[in-house]
Amino acid sequence: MTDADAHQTTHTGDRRRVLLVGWDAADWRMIEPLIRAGRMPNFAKFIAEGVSGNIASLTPMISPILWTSIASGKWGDKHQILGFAEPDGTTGKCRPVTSTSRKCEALWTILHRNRRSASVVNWFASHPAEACGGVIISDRFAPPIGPPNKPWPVPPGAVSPSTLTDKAATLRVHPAMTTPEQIRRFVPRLSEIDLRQPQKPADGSTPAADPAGEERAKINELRSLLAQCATVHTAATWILKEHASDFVGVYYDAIDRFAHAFMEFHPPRMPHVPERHFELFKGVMETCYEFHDMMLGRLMQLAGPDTTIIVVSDHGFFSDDLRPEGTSAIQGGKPVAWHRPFGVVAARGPEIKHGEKIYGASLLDVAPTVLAIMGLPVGRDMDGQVLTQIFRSPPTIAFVDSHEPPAEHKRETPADEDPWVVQQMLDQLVQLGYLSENSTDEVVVDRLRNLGQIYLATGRPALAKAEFEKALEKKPDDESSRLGISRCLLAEGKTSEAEALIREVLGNDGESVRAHIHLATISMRRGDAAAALDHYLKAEALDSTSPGVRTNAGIALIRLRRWQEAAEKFEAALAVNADDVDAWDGLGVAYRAMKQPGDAVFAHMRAIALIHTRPRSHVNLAIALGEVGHTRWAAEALKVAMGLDPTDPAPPELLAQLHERVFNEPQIAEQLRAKAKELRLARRGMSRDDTSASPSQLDASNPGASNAAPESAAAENAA
Amino acid sequence: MTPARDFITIVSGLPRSGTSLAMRMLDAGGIPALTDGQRTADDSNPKGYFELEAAKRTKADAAWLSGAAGKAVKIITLLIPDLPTDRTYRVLFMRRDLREVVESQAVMLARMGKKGGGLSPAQLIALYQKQIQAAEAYFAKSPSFRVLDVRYADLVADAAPQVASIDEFLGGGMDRAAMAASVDPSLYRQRAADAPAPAVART
Repeated sequence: MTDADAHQTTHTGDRRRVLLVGWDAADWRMIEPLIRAGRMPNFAKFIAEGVSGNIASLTPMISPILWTSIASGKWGDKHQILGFAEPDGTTGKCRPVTSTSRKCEALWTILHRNRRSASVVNWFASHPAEACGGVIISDRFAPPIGPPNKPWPVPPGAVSPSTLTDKAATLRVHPAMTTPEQIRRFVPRLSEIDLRQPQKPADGSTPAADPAGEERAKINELRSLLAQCATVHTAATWILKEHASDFVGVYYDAIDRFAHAFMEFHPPRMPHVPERHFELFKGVMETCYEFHDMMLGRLMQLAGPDTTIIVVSDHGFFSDDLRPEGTSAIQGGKPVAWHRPFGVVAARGPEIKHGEKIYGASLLDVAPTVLAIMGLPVGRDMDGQVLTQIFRSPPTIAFVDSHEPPAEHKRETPADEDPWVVQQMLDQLVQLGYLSENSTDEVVVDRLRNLGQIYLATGRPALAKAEFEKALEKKPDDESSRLGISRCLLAEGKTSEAEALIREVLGNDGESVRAHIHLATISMRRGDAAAALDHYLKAEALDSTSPGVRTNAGIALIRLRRWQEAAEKFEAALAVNADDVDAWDGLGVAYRAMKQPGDAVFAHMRAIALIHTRPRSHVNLAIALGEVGHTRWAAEALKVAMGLDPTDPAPPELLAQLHERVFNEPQIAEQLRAKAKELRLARRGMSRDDTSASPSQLDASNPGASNAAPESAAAENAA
Repeated sequence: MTPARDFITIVSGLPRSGTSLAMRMLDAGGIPALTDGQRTADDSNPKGYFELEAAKRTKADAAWLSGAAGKAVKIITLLIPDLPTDRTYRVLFMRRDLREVVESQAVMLARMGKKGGGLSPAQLIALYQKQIQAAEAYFAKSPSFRVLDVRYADLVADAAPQVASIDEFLGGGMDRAAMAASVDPSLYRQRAADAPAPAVART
């Protein structure tokens, strides 16, 4: 198929159209105050006329992985975009992730296969641009190369169809094109910064100190980010105006990049930030959001009222007292630690409800929902679901086994494009002695770790362990991989082995916060809640801001049946972070034990509203509903739990009790009991402790993981 | 009289394409090999590797280039794009049937007791073809490079004409007899059925 053939649009006026707007790292905690202050009027209108809510991110919270999951509806092990970079078979070095490395169909290729036109701007891992009936502008298009007076060629393959490359090139904004007036909107005290580049002494002597250097660098960074954002937006508006497509996806990475550069300067002032820098840059983040609101207004205008628009972010970004210590910068900092596990989702369109909330959404649900809006079937091999709650009338959802093409038509990844194949070739050359080292090893270790985390998050510890072990082959002292293996061992019930490994990794670091947290995990697995509590309290005493410590202490108190103290711990955790899913669930268990079932129902529903896919939350809710007399709702909650985890015997057992004692349906009860027995037998031999804390909650190396993954609830049925 | 060579002689090609042979030949003929002697001869290369470890890290540190004019250094295909273009190079690009290259690598790995990358010959050939194309593109982009393709099979089959081409390409004055004598056909151990083609000079 030629470029021209592929560009033939199939858009017609009566087709349902979708505009998917990605705002990387957008967070309600920044947006809501700005809306209240009238500073984001377009988004305020958008959510008033549509629906909005939290959207749960995925583990690991790394943007290329997440945005590909958004585009495909699948976890990373299926799409295989596993980080920012991958080995390059031609150079032996690393390159940004590419579309050719993606191992499954994305929304735009699915739509094109189904004779819809699709256009995309700047999506992660979209280079080279694929031919999809619309205009695809890859993520290699926007970044400037060199100073403004030098050639700035569009990278080959960055635009499809290629015939539009020259026109697209004119849409780009170079940082040098930004004006002081534009920068002053972000930094009102710009005139206080010395922007002159110091001259190097002609005699070659050491240049004088340059105190303004750091401030100047920040301004240059701001200019670059602003320019690239403007490029993306200009390309998007051009497509909406001149190349109407059934689907348009636009990815703005600016909020995330701005946040990594400037969130540490956002009020209140963080201890490590000098007063002057705080005063200069404290307004940048809010202005960044205002800028995005302005751009959204234009997109809404161009898309028109008949287009369903979805705004989504892949994760949030801490902006308040929960900000981690130290810089938010990517270099020299811990960037993922700043990512909050809940992002933003909002939708508006002809079939969408008005002014209502969305609950329990996951990044994996976006692609299925877009397909449903466009009247196309959802793949059964997708890991997400259609967000039926957003529609005014429930949509008729059709299914197909998969949108992946048959094997004979499947896109074959050339050997030099497959990162795993490339890595193996490089390994061979190192073994032969022709390369002194494999410069891609660090990136490969990263990919293996990320894949291990994905397998752990999706309940496949054996597969996860294999990936962590491959990472250790390349980097034997990699602590993250070793701790990953310990989590796998815990998931498999091999507590002693896990403990031995953790102790080996911790070495002499026995009194640190992370040591206490890891040792607490082991204690909980052994059923020694008292010892676990002791460790959590010590961790809390050392650092009360350590994520999840109070919640985990509350879980230990639940085990010890100290309900009031447990409730207090959970309430304290929620006072700091109202999105703590485990705290809500734990609070529900405590309330129920304290004979407050109505409060328990509310608490469990708050947990489910944040993450819908935790089976044990639905079980807990069912029990609380049963206690307040809502037995039919309790039965429904148990059925949801059974659907989410078909291997757990608890929901069918509880449902059997309802059918027997309440609904007077003994035959159904009998069938359910038989099912429960079958599941218990299947579990025999595993020392899986259903009432134990989820390992990912207690991983001190990834504090954000506590609320990220849809895993079993920490708080068990204590009744 | 030996002419002054103000360029760097690069011997390039895929691993196991005859690069060590070419290095040995140049060294015998009067262009000293730039080597640190770290990698010693073995069953896979009984007459030595003639390698320079620093050349494998050119991307990170190209300091070794300052002493390389008038000498020969081995740079495998994959590392060619790391060479800075602010120098003058003449490249002997060793060409060998890729099936032979892949098989030779497999034999070498087996001798070393290593497992290799676990890829099929077809996968490796596809990867190596791309690397060759990338090196050719890099040569074509810059006037810093003059390239002579040397077919390994030609060289082993009949060294004299190849040696003459190489000597001429590198400015003349080399000891052609010594160069020809350094070619040992008994070391051409993995062979494919293709007939050798004549060497082609390219600028």
